Amino acid sequence: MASMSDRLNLGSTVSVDARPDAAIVLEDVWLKFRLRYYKRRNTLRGAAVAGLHSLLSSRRAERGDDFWALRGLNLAISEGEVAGIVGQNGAGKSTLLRVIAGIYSPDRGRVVTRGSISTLLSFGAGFDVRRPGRENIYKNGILLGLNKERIDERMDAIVEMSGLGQFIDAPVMTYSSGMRARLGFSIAIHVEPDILLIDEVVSAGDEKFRHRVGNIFDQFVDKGRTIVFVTHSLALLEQYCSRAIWVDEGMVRLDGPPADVAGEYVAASKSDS
Amino acid sequence: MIGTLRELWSKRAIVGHFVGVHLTTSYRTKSLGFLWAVLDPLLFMGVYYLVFGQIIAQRPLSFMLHLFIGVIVFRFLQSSAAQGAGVLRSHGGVIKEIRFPKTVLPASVIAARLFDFAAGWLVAIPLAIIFGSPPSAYWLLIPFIVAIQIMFVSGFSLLTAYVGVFFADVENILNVLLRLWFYMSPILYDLALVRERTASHPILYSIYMANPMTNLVESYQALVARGELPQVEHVAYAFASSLVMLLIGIFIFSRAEGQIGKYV
Repeated sequence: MASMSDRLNLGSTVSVDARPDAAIVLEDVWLKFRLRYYKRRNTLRGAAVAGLHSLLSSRRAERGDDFWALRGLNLAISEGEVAGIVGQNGAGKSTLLRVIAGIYSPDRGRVVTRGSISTLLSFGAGFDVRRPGRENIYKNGILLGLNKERIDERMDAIVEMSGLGQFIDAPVMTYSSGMRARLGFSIAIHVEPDILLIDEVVSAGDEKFRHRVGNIFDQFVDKGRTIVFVTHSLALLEQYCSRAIWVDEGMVRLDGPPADVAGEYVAASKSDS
Repeated sequence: MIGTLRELWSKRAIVGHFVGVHLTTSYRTKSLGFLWAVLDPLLFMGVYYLVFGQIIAQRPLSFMLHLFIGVIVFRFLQSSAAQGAGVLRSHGGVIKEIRFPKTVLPASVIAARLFDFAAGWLVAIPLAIIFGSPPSAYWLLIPFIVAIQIMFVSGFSLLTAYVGVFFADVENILNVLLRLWFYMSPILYDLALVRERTASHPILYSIYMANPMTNLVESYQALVARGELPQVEHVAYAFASSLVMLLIGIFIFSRAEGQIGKYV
């Protein structure tokens, strides 16, 4: 770690009060998943058995019940930044985005965001795949906070950016994953949020689309808006982002310029394997 | 409670969207469509009349009105609670994708089932005119009883929706519970019968009357089937217990709001 340049920092503690200007502040955020709700305990019989079990085993820790996905994560992101999040599978990247979005509440710590938030977190899990793309634009637009009139106004622009052309009236299940990603992306952008959260979706698009995304991001943040972007592509990280955050085991391991963080991340990944 | 209502109002476009989805899946895919909103309780009333009004006991045709009111009133609770128990799980994808107040989902179920309930009254009112008393000014009180029932149904459905996130078997347990609850409410028989049978055991009668649905059903029956004012203590108890149920439902649900996304 001695070789690390001054521009990098190791995810030091952040206080919400110290950063009134930031678009997003996470202060010592912890978040756990109760594994029992995913296991057999999910049935009442399982719950009864497990409940008896935990009564009999005196030590709480023995139950091994909780998985802490975020462990005291500190992060402040300013307006106008494109923050790229990297890290291994299971490091807590998607959980981090959902905490910022307010989909998960932290079990400890504080999350403060300024302004409206739009999300694109998976390959169209929010789409009703049997219905046409156009209908899904209404559905997701409404869920993201637009009303029907505003969606009508932006419909042509959404369809145009998605590049779907006539396919917009075909059911979403006929789309490729790239087409779904483009549609979801186009909707999320046209909500015109103050903060845009994107999870590893853009990489499903083709080269042409990725190039356009870069321009769209630039225009987006020029208006003082903020983007948080999870990716496994270090090329996209360096292409799009003004700052990179390496998340490891639910904490910020490294935070700084994309090229430097990418370099450290690659080096660490190689030495681990 | 006010906060929850205000939030739902600000998100009414989303509620409206999901109400449309629920009504569509209930009706639009069927060839008889919205007709099922009245056909379904009518058919149940027919079955109950055959069994409880002809085979087990000899009841006049006007007993149909009593049965029909009980059926639509209870169906509002039953379908809201049962569907509410599964609604968060079945929308897991969108819950994990987009942030919106999760109360929107059970609220939209309740609103869709309220639509069915309203459709039921389109049949109940003509039945009342045929079999019951002539239309009376007392009927103007029906909306107040409906409002009390909406509070009760909302509170109970928020509770089943919350528990349904963590335990998939809630739907099975609810099926049995709701059936028992149905038989324990004065729908297939009159409250007078219960009073008569429990005359020597007033404690049993008190236990029977502790059921909020009994008080609600009985108040509707008094107003519509018998054309008289409901007893004040029935309405007051229904109101108090419904308010408590609503507050419990909102309290538990809103506390879990940020956890639901993790487990659906």
